[in-house]
Amino acid sequence: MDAKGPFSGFSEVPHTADIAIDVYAPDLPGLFRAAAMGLYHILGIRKGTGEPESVHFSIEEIDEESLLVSFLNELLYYANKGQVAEDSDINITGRSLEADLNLLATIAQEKEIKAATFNNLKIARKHDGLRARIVFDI
Amino acid sequence: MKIEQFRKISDFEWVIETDAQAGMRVPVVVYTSERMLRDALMDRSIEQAMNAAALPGLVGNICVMPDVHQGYGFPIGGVAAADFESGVISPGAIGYDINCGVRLLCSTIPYAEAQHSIQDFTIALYQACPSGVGSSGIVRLGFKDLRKICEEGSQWALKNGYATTQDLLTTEDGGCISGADPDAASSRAFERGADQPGSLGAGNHFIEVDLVAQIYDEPAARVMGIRQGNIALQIHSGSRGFGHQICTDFVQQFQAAARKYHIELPDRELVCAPLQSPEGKQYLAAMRCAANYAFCNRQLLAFSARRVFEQFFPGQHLLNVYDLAHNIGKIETHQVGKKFLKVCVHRKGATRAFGPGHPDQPQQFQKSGQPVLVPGSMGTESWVLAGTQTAMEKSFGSCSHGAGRVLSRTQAKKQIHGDRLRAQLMAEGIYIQAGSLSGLAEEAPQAYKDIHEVIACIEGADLGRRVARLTPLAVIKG
Repeated sequence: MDAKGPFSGFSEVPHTADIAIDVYAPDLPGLFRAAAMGLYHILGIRKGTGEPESVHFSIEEIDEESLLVSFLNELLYYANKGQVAEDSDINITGRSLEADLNLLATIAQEKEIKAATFNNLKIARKHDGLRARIVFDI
Repeated sequence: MKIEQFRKISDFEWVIETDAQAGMRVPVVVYTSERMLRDALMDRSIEQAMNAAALPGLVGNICVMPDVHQGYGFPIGGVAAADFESGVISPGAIGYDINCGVRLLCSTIPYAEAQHSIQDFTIALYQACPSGVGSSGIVRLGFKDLRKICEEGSQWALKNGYATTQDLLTTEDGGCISGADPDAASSRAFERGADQPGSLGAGNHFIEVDLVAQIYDEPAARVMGIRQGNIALQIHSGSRGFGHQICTDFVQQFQAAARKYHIELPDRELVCAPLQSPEGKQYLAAMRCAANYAFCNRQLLAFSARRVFEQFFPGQHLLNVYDLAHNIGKIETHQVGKKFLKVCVHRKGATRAFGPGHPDQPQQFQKSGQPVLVPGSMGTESWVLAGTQTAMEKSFGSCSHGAGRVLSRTQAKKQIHGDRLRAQLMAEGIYIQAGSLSGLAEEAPQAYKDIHEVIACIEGADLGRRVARLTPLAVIKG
């Protein structure tokens, strides 16, 4: 999954026991895509080739942070099944998310992540876009 | 937080009173030395303990062990007890790897007789005990058997020929916590758990071949079946994807439940629900399923390891010393002030350490106190301790679970090369079998606290008593 648009991405942040990333993007779907890229980076996933499988899912949660955690844990579920999202179409309206993913089989994965967590999670709106720090339990 | 803000009770006991931060309902007590406390203040672990003190219905203190380090909401090495009637249960204060724990087996064979076979034995163990990312276990189960494991834990293993009666007698809760309800766990948890019983996993999970280097308490060691000079085996694993999914499901669901019950917390990962609410009861029932799954998982790994051991060392035996949980929520009765209260003890990276005479431990440990397993980091010593009466009085019968991290995984990977580390450990006579070199670097001894200091603090605070010291001979990492 590639981040779309300018000024979006992620960087790894030191954490004693687990792994944290800072993600940034101009808009909310971009932030979710950047977080997904960070997740796949930590997992050390390598994509295979072949026909992608199309998957659609929808999530309703109490707020944006809950949506983000739920979305990442959904991707983790597929990663545990040996599938990685090559491309995604994410629509967020209020507290609802609709995602269409094209899933490819993975050929390798270096690391196991237990879950994306809510630890001090806050999606902050800055002058240049959105930012969040996500801690993953390793 | 600065060290001057703590009230020093003794060289190994430091208190943060409730007025240190808004919302704290109980004090935080840190059982450690001044030097290690200064180290702990370098990350956010103490801040996380203070946040945890805001959980509703807590009794006594938040207890912090000397191996404490920053987690993702609740500190690793933290213990919190909530009143069973008026308190809450917090999935994040138990952890995603529900009933992650350690099993120690001790053999009848002296090192002198086994030393030439250790490397080959370890290679065979690596082949027989599935490990690594997404590994499948030694048994693949249908839905019906998986439900049975949820309800019966290691008793399922006994019924199916994977355990002995003695194994269950030397497992916390006999390897089965009652009150588990498979209907409380999601279908996704079952899907993830179906092919993983009897697998080690990755991360900090390991199998280690050890030498019993020294006995400190001969009567206790005898009762535990630990003999100086013999080979021993440690297994560190948990509830795999099954437990991870259950915690994930409930942390997410409890975000709404916390609002429903008007619970405000400093960190959303501490999210909780009243123990007596439908949500709290459902989580407790699901969490117990994962706990039983983990007991059975370590039992299956022990079965597999034992089979390899008996092939390599015919006529010798690998006997279970103890199997315990260090990420769990337990309904127990503890004395708080002058009252005996039924509480839910959350142990996150902390081990139960019941002292002599406690009825909820195997009969043979009534005099000595239960075995407390404190593995060191890879390449360093591990310890077997015995639970104490002081632990019952001060820490809800809890003790440290390991050495505790000091370096982040990112720092460890920057400073340590996996291949060099493996060569260094091999040169020290420790055979390494690892699935990933970068994973090996993350788990390097330098990334952890000094286990001797941790043990000195435990003894200084009297939360555990030395029984035996183990030195590593071979390590399998997922």
